[in-house]
Amino acid sequence: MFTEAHNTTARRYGGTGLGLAICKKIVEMMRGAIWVESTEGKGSMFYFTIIFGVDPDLIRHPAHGQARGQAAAQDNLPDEVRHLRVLLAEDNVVNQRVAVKTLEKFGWSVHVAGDGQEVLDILNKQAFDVILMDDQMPVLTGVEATQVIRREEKQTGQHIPIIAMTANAMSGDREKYLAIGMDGYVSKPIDRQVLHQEIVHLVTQRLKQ
Amino acid sequence: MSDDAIDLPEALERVQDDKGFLVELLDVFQEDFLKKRAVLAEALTTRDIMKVREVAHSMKGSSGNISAKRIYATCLELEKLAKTNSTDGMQDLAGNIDVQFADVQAFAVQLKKELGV
Repeated sequence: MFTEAHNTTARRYGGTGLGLAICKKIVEMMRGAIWVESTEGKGSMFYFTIIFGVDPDLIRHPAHGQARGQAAAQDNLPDEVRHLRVLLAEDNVVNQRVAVKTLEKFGWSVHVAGDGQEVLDILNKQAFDVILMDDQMPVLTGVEATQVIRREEKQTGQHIPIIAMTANAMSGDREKYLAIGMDGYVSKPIDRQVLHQEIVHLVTQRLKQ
Repeated sequence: MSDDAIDLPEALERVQDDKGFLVELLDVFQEDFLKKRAVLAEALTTRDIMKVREVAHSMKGSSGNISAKRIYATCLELEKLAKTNSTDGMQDLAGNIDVQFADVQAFAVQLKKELGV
């Protein structure tokens, strides 16, 4: 049992003296032990042991442990958005690197297109769940590529979510991109949480339709 | 590092604390930035304001993603100026970008030293 050395201590330093008693209870509930080695006037060392189970998946795939923290955030997501195929339309190499790293950490696969024409070309060959579209790109801008995609979708009845991802960040930009047929808007520099929320929100919304 | 060429906490947050990746990203940034700076110089010489606007926008985008706040702010200013079709003050802004870029280069060297890479 843990008790305070002097009943005047709480008054001087604060605290009720319950902390260690609570720790002891918790450790024992986890089939462990807690003890202290203390020398009056010098100091104390506190120790505890706890028995943990071992995740069989980690024994088979030790590298999975590193991704576990990031994956935890994904665990609460519906199955449909855990493994998205993202088409990233971005010509700036620094922005490409940051976006790819961010999206892959979310557990999603990423294909990079360096201009608007490449976006159209790859869409003819491969299916994607969402497009992140920069606007200012060579050959065909993000706006021009979006207009072509939406025009073609009128024939097929499909609708792929397109999110503008631009460094414009001027007031009225969101409205401008939504007006030409995009579904969402995120500004650069990339904010991981905002990007994640926008993608999940739009893809989930699309799946419900 | 006391230098504020890069907002390090923000940059690390963006790359999820992957310092090795940040160092690599700074290398990519520097190489790419020098190419863009050459395009800017050419556009300023030929007074191609549309090109100045485009390249300033692109330089702003990449400096923002590495949290090089001062370059970002100067590129934003240059981009806005180009939108007004005025060339007044553009050379000064380009000169500021060069000084700020040199700070980023020094920052990258220091970061590599500190990380032992």
